[in-house]
Amino acid sequence: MSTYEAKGVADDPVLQWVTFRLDNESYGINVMQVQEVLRYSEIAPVPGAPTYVLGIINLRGNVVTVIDTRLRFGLSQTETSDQTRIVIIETENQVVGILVDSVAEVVYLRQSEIETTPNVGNDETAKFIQGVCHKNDELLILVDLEKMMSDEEWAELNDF
Amino acid sequence: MSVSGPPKSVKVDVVVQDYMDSLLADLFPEIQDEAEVLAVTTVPEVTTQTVVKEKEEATSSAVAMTQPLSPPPDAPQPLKQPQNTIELASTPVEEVIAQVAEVASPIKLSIEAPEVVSPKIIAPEIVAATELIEERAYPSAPVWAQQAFDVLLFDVCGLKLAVCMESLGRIIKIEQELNQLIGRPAWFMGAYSENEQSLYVVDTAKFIMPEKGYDLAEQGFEFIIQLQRSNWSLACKEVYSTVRLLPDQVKWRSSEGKRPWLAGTVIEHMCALIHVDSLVDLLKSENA
Repeated sequence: MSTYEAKGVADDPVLQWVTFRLDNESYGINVMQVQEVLRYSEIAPVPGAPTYVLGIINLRGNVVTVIDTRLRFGLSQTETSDQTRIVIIETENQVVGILVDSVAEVVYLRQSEIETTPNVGNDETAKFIQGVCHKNDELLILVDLEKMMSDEEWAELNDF
Repeated sequence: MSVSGPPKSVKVDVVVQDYMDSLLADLFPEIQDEAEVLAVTTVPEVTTQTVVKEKEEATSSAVAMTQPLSPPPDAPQPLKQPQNTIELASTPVEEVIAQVAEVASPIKLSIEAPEVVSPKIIAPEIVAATELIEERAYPSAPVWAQQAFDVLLFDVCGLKLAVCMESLGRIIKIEQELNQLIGRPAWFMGAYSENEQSLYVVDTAKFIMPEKGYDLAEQGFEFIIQLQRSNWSLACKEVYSTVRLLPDQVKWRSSEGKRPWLAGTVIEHMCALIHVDSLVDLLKSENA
């Protein structure tokens, strides 16, 4: 590899993203934040929990809180299906699950391929989007998981 | 591209007429009585003349300042003159110091000279600005509208809008659904992917006349019009033909109002002319 190519790779790193679908849109999350993907299993509701918390699951003896991603993203509710998955993620030093319609694949993206999106409006959910990218003739919306919840909300999840 | 006009109904006509009236009111808030009109129209002329006069005075004074300075009568003689040369071998120390002090003064004068010369650079700019004000035949019109210009007419919920052809990127017929981006305002319809590029689509009706309650997503739209070469585009139901307009066919907005995207209205075509540059700036500022 030439010096110029090596410099180019360093300036423009390739990142891997796990893609999932929600309400007919494709989203991506950084693969480094994904621990595993589970089939949908019964989620035990927690009395008094915030509305965006669906409940908890038992993951090999550990309690994991599952977040209602549709509700968090301001999308309409839907029934679960065979494709429904719980993606176990680790962020803000916490392990949580996010419920998604389906999980598709892992894609490789160069940093330079990611476009920023217009930051219009005052809705907090707009901050969840880190950028967008065109992959396989469709638009992939990249999610910044750490901004999915405020510091207070992450702390609140710790109490479960 | 459709060339037929929109279906006319009495309700739409009334709403559009109301909206056009409000646009005109926004363009000319001063039209309340003739006395006010006279007062408002004469003040800017006086101001302009005053400004031009002041600038001309500034120019003449600036030019005057560029004249070479003649040394004051009591200024010391320049260093090059033979009588100021120092003869070290035969002169006492006190005389040498006195001669050095005498010689130092002209050198100081030559250092200050560039500060006096600097207005030379400013003067042409003042002259150019004065000429620009004098040359613009339609002061309220943008630079691109000082001569005849082509506009594209299109329909949004019965309201006819026009955009200058020079400010357009592409006109795209929608062939696929928009991607929805979460957390965006109601007027943000989504992203349209075209040739690996994302165009962000604005619900034109909701953005420019939110008070009317129109929803292009519900009513349907077939085209998006890219603004300049930006990522922003306007959704519309129908695109009409292009027409050539002369600057005096447009009632140009006379002041900054609540609709910065509005350049003026064209009574002949009953349409609002969009100031694309301002609209893009507005969208970008919402973006900031």
